[in-house]
Amino acid sequence: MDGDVLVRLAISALEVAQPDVALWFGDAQNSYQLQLQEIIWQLYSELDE
Amino acid sequence: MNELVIYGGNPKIVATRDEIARCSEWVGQAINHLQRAKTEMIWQETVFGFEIPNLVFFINRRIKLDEIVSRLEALQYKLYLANESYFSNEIQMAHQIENQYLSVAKKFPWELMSLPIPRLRYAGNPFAPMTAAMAIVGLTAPPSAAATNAMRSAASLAPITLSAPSWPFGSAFGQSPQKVPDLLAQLQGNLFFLGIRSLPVTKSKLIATNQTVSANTFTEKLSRLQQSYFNPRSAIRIDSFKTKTGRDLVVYIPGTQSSKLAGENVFNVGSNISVMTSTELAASELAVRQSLEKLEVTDSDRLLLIGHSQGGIIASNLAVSGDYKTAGLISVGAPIAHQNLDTPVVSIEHANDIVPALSGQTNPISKTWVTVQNTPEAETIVDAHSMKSYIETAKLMDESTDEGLKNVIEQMKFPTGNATSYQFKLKG
Repeated sequence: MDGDVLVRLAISALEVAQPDVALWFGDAQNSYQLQLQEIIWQLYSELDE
Repeated sequence: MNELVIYGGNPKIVATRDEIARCSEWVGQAINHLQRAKTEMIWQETVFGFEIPNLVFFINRRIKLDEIVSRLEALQYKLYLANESYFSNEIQMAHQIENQYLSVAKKFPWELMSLPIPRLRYAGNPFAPMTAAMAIVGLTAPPSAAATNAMRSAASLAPITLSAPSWPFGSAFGQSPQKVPDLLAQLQGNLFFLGIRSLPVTKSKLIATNQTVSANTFTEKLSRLQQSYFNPRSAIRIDSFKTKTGRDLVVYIPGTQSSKLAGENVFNVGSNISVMTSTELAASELAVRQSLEKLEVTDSDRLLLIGHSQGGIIASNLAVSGDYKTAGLISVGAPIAHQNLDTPVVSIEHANDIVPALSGQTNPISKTWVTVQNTPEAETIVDAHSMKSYIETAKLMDESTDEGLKNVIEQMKFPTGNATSYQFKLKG
């Protein structure tokens, strides 16, 4: 399978891995969400190159 | 052991277990995709019309994806650690109940020996409700021949009920979580149908009013709870503190005192079965409600409930009923894990006391619910369930610096200073 397709699949999986805000509390949710978002952006930029 | 195990009530525990598992699974899938993406060659079209591998891009992407995978793995590990803390608590509780069964079995080895091995693996566990009922009767009733017999029956059924296919991740008695109270409701229905029980008629009478001061430590609170068992029997104590907007009422509710299914003492075995079913048919619960009515409790009054054993279940029923503004609940050796409580809760449980496990599930872990476990030295399970034994645990709690425990107690905002103490005699 094409590497780009696999990266896109990884991005989709990470989008689903975003926290359900109703089930998380406080700073931990923000921290987890920010890290996840940062990785998603890194993957998008990888696709652009 | 005399060492406290405390879980819950801590804001660092960040999400529900299912949510953590879900996130972890999807992060894992992303890692798998990226691991595969790393090995895919990147091809570049040449001027000659065919493609050649672009090794520079390939190596460059591989380095970047390696770094991202490492970050995702670190994130997944954090999720794993959070999830593990839940699982380890559940497993710990499961082992605890298993140990309780073993200590019962040691007392009645002939019961265990008489059970054929295939029965120990009985999958359907129809004996679960009986075990739960027998254990409730046997353990929460005062020492008597009937209680001993009930305990023996529970001991003989325990191996069957503890061998559920889902064990140890299923509920304590091999039933799905809400089933034990449901099945006790059936048992209660049968008792009514057979005419062994009838609808309770109760009375509450104010018998004493005194000036008092607040009980500020766990030891003081539990000592007052212990005192509420005596002089007279079948009574509760309510300490009333004036506030700017109304009153703070600290309600001390004792546990079972009579081995009868009904009778003058409302804290009887019949009430035990009823309070677990939340149908408000328990004489004890009705009489506690009548006492609150006599104090003309309104929405401007906050209730802080402290109950041992049956008293703890009554307290949890009052809290979930929504009939009162409940600011906090301290349950002592009571099975309340099945209750959907949104009030701050401190559950004090002994590992060698089977009563708190009778709800058939573990206490939830949340910001508002802290569970304190201890394994005191006790010759029998009944000793481990006694108020005397729990007061020793309260002394350890007063010395504890656990953040979760501190958080939940602060949420309750227990009143301090002078108060008026009311004692109500409850009559069935």
